[in-house]
Amino acid sequence: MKGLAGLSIRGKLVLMSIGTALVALLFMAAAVLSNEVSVFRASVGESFRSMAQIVGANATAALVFHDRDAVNETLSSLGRKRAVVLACIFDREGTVFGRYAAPGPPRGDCPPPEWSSGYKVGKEGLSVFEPVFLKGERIGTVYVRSDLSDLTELLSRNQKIVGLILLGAMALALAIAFRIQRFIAAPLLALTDTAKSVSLKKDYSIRASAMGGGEVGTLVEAFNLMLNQIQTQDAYLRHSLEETSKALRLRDEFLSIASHELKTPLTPLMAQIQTIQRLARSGMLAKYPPDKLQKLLSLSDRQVSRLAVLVDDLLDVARLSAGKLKLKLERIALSDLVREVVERLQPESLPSRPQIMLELDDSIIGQWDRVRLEQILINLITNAIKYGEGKPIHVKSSLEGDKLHLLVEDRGMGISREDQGRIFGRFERAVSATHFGGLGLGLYITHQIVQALGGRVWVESELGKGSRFTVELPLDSSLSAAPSLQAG
Amino acid sequence: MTRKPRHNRFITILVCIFALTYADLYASAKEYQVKAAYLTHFLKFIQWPEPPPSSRSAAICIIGEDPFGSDLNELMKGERINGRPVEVKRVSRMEDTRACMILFVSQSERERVPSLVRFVRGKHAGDVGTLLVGDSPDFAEKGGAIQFITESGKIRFIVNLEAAEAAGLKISSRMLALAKVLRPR
Repeated sequence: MKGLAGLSIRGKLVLMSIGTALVALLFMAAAVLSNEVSVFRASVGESFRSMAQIVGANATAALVFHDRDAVNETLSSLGRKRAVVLACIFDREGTVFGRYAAPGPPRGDCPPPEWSSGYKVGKEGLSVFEPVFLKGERIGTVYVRSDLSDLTELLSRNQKIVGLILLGAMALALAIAFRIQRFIAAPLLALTDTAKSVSLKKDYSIRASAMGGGEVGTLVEAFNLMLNQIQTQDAYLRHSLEETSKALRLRDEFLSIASHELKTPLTPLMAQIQTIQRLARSGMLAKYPPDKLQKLLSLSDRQVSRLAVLVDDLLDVARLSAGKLKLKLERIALSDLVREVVERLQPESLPSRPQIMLELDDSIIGQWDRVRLEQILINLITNAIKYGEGKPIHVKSSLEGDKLHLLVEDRGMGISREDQGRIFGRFERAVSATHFGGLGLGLYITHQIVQALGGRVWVESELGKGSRFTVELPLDSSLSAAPSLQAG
Repeated sequence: MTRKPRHNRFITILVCIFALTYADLYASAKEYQVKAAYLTHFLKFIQWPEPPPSSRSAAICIIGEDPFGSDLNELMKGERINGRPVEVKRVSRMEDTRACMILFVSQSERERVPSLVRFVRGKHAGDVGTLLVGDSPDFAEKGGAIQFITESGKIRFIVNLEAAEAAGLKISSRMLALAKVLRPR
C-alpha cells in the first residue's frame, strides 16, 4: 500500500480504471462461464437422454429376441459421438445385456441400473439412465456416460476468448484512463509547472491558466488568488525596501554633509586657537594689538556659534525623530518676536544683507513656545536670505479666522514643482550641498515644530521668481497640538 | 473275469447312446422353448388386420406334431391380439385353420406347406389374416411368412415380406432389423 501511495495521480488513475475493468470483467467472465457450464451440461444431458431413448428404441426388438449382436451393434453406433465413453443396455431383470466402451483407457464396468430416468453429473462425468419400453412394458434400461471432454474443450476455447476480451478491455481501459488522466493530472502538472516557474523566475505576475471546472479548477483559482496576494505583498516589500534604502542613502549623504559642515568651522577655529597659543607661549600676547586680537576672537566666536547651531539642529532632529520634542507654551506677542529675530539676523551694521520688509499685525497674541517659534522664523528667514539672491525679503503676519498666517517671501531662485513636495523631508534639500552650506534640516525641523504646534506649513514657488513659505498656526497651541508633543 | 469288460463296454455304449439321445432331446426341448418365446414376441412387432367382429378370441394354431408342449400355452397366457385374448389350438385339418392368426406348421407337415400357403392366400378380405410360421427347410421360399433357422447355435428367422403383406400383416422394422429378409424376386 505504501507503493500505491507513492504512485503519481496518473498511475493511480490508470491503476484504478484497469483494476475496475479487470474486476468487472472477471466477475462477468465467471458468471458467463458458470452459466455456460450449466447450460452446456443441461443441453448435453438432454441430448444424451434423447440419444439414449433412440438407442433404447432401436434396441427393443433385439432386447426382446435376446439378440446380443444386434444390441451391441446398436450401442456401437454411439461410438460416432466422441464424448460417449461408456454405454450399456440392461435387460428387464437389470443384468448387463450389451456394453460399448470407447477406445482408449479402460472405462470400467457398467454401473447398477437405476430406475429413475434423467442425467446427473458426477466425478466420472455426465451419465444418463433411460428406460426402454415396448408397448408400455419396461423391457430394459440404457446407460450412457460422457466424460464431458466436449465441455472441457468448449471451456478452454471460451477461456481463450475471455482472455482475449480481457486483454482488449484492459487495452481499452488503459486508453480511457490515459484520456481521463489528461483531464485530472494534466491541469495539476500544468499547475506544478507554473508554481515551479514562479519560484524559479521569482515572477509573481505569472498565472496558472484555468482548465475547466471541478476541484482542479477551484485549485487553480485558489492558486491564482494566492499568487495575487504574493504579488501584492512582494510589491509592497519591494516598495518598502526601496524607501528604506532611499532613506539609508539620504542618511549616509546627510552624515557626510554633516561631518563636512561640522569640520568646516573647526579648521579656522583650530588655526585661530593655535595663533593665540603661539602668541601666549612667546609672551607676545600682551604686546599684540588689541583690535587684531578682538577680531581674532570674534572670528572664533563666529565659528563656535556656527558649530552650536549645527549641534542644536542635530539635537533637534534627534529629539523630533524620537518624538521627544517638549513645548513650553507661553503668551507671546508675535510682532515683537518677529522684530527681535529679524534684528538678530540682520544687524544694522551689516550693509550687504538684503532688505527685510515687515508687514506685521501688532494685535496678534497667542499661546506658543517662544524658542520653537523663534526657530521657525530663523529657519525661514535664513533660507530666504540664503536663496534670495540679495533681493528684498517680505515677512508678513495676519489673522485668518482664528489662525495666524505667517508669510516669508523672497524673490530669489525659487523651487521647482518636483522639489516642493520633498523639501520638508528629513535630510532633503532642493540644491546641492557643494554650493550651499547647511545640513538641510531647517525645513524638516520647521515642519515638525509647526505640526507639534498644531499648524501646517506650505510653499508656493516658481523657478526664478522666488518662494513664499506660509506657516499657519492656531492662536492657542495647547488646544490643538499633537498629543505626543503636548507641553509637559 | 472275461465277461466283465464286455459288460462294461455295453454299459458305456448304452450310457453314450442315452446321453446323446437325451442331449438331443434336451437341446430340442430348449430350442422349442426359444421358438415359443419368439412366437410370443412376434405379437408385439406384428400388426394384424382387424378380425371379423364375430371372432371372440385370437387363435394361435399348431398344425401337425406339437413340438412346444405346454410351454407355448404358458407363454401365451395373458397375451392379446387386437384386444382379443390369445388361445392356443392344435389343429389337423386345413379347414380348421381359417380363424388362426398364427399358424405354426410343424416339421411333420412339411409336405402340406404348398397347399397351406395356397389356402392362406386364397382367403378373402374380411377373413382373419394368418401368419404362417414354420421351421422346415425352405419354408419361407415356399411362401411361408416366417421361417425359424438355426445359425451357429442361435435361433434366428427369415421373413418373407411379400407373403406377410399378402396376408395383410405389418411387421415392425425393428423386428425386421433382426431378421433375414427374403426379398421378392
